[in-house]
Amino acid sequence: MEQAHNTLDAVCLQVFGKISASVSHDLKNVLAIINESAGLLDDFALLAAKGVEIPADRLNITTARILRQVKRGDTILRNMNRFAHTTDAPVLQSNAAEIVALVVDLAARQSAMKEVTFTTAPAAGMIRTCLVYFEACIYLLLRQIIEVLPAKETVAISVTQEENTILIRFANGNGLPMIADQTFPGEQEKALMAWLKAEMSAGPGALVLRLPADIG
Amino acid sequence: MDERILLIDDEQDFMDALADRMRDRGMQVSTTTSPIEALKKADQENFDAIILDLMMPEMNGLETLTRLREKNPDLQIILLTGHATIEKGVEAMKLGAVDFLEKPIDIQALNAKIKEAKAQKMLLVEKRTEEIIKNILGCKAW
Repeated sequence: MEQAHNTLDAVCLQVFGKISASVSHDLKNVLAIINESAGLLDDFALLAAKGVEIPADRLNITTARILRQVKRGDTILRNMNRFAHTTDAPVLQSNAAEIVALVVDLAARQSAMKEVTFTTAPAAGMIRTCLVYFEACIYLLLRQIIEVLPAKETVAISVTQEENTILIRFANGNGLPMIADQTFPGEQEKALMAWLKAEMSAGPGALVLRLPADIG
Repeated sequence: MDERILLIDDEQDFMDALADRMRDRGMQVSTTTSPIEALKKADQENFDAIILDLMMPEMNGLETLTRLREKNPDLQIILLTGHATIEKGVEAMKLGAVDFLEKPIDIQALNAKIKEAKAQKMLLVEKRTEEIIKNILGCKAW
């Protein structure tokens, strides 16, 4: 039992590390853009001091770029903060579709690198479970999909509730059954799914994850 | 003389801001977010230096660097990265990058690297021209 918990904690720590690395990379890019834009405004100030007229549109474009990046940075930090707070208690209740959308956002860098798009939609189903295990499970599944799917593919993710079960469906026009192969789910995913009492099945063009709406 | 630069980065805002700053410093800057487009541009135009982001979709920076150098080993390529690691820097230099800079960039430092790259490029062009002339003189019975 203790060994199972150690495995789960190690998996979650790895996922937390991967997400933190990705977030820090994204924030570095945000800062780099703000740095270049501030530098450009500095260049404009030097030119203006020499009597050179700076076109208003160049100023507008530069300030808009800074505002866009501040908004982007704020979204990244909000998502990271939400993710970090899912460890506040061992078991928490939350909207399942919102958690899935959060994990999709946290994996955005990896999906962008492979040019794989995930679409999500709001849904009403609530889940009461260990949210960080649930997030780690979804994250590892997304990483596997990104790894095996060809570039530029789109995966539609839908969340529904059937009585006491939450169903998360990952669908792709060209099929996803190759995701559930001999190597996936691996030991880490199996340990998470066992704790979450989750089951995964692959059908034509789709992969479905079923898990109890209340872990009890 | 103006430096001719190709800037490749998938972060459009970063690329636009840096290109504006470089143009304000008298450089001729061509930009693209696509490494594949960059390979085409490098075929069509003669650049003094190429500034290349390490992490990009479509094709990563090291692969792009390798393909650019296969097309033209004289290309002077400076790699940019959000998070520099010694391992990546060493790998980039082994593959033929002339330098490896971490974002956010110090424009003065980049400017200096570009000028060094251009000087190196001119030396290589002179050397190649000399070799060609030597070959011609060696082949023909003047």
